[in-house]
Amino acid sequence: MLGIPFKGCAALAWGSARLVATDRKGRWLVTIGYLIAMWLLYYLWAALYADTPTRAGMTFNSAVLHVLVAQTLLAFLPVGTDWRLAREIRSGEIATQLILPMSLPLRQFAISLGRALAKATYILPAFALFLWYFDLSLTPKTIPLALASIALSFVLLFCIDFVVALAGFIATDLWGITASKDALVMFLGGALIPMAFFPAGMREVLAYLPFGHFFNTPVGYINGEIVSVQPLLIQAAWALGFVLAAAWAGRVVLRKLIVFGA
Amino acid sequence: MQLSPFWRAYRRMVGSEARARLEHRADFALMILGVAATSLSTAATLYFMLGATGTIAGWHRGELIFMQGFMFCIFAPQSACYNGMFWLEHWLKTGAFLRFYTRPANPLLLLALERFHPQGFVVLAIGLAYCLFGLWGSPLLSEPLFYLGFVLLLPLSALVLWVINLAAISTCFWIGESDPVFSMSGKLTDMSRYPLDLFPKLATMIFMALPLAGTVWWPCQALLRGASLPLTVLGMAALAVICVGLLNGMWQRGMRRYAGAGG
Repeated sequence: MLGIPFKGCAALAWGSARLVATDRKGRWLVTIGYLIAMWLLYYLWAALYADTPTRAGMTFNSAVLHVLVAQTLLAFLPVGTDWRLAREIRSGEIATQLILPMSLPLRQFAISLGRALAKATYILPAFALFLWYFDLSLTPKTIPLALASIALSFVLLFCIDFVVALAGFIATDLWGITASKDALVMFLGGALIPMAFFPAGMREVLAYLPFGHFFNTPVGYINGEIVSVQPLLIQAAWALGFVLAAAWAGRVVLRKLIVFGA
Repeated sequence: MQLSPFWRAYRRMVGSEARARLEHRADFALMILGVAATSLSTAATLYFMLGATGTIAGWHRGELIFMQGFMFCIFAPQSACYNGMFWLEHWLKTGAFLRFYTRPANPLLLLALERFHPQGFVVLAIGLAYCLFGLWGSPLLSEPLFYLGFVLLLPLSALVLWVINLAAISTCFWIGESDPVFSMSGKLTDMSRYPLDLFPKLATMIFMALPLAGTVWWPCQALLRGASLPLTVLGMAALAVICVGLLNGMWQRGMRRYAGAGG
């Protein structure tokens, strides 16, 4: 079906998930770091709302839940595909990958999916614990749409990471482009503050761009702020566009590959 | 004037690294873009978050922007001179770290010899611009004592931040992967740019013990809120000395523990 080797993808995803899940010390440290960051964010937003019940039309509960859910998605959806692939390009390991019977984007997607799912297995229980401790609750109106939106958000994040990593074929140092990408995705995607806090003009412009679909759309579904299927369809259209763009970029850039020596 | 062998080597390395970085102009432009995008998104987040009231628990927007700018300024020396520390884990795994045992100088100084990145100047310029923007129109800008405090406290805070970050990365001597520790300390460092009195007492105590309060909070108490400058400078100097001493000890233990990488 569609020429996708599902068995190979599943094996790769499972293998990379196990690699993440077996790092017990790392798992604990990341979870504790995540909980501390969430704890501090909660108090930062509580201080912000201490003298006013609403800001940008949002109550404390709706604003803090937006930020906490977005930070949770941020903790497990981006899995460093850009840095991993860029390192493989730099070391020449990419040459081995290209002769394997699976396309490079698909292989990277399977590895990233496995890592994201493994991270979700310890971040999500920590998030549930956090919500219980602070007596907060999520009220998604349509759980299937929320799950579909998270999946599409992962696809968008993977595609942008993949394209940025391909710059490793051209640029000698990827830090600048990766940092710019991270800043844009997090800030304009609504992972740092709800987009309701942006000026009206900026929100109007952002409505025509894909950034809001990285975090704002899935967060909207999870928090029950979005019920209609329309944002999901727009997100799916952007995801399709990103997949096609990533595949095209991969084909173009791989023509530039030069392998030196033995 | 006769320079010591270290400084001669350092000057050569800075020259060649700076030339190499500036030779790839597009890459350098992208790097400046990265620094600008990161700092702008941080400042814009703060700006929009405060909204029309412009305050949070008695702290004004300008003061908060100054604190963000101060953090950029103290990160600048690390960004320029200690970019090599992000390679430590890789060197330990590949065995490339062995060269640190064969050279007759303190390994923390040798680490500075590994890389020089001109992007540090961009970070510093952006940080100073934020500090100026944050305090624009404030009477503090016309007080010579403020500038003296800024100049004295900046390097001390930079040392404290450098120690915290390098200590987090150096945990790879013991646990192999430093990413999780660095990510955890990074999250705390991010939050230490805000006034610590926003957070619960336990969090404030953690910030003081680590001692992340020495990066922005204590210096800004003296620069912005009238805490005693001489006492703060003395306290920060003592803190910086203790921090560097502890880091040096950590590296000595780490280097004794490292057994090399085969192959």
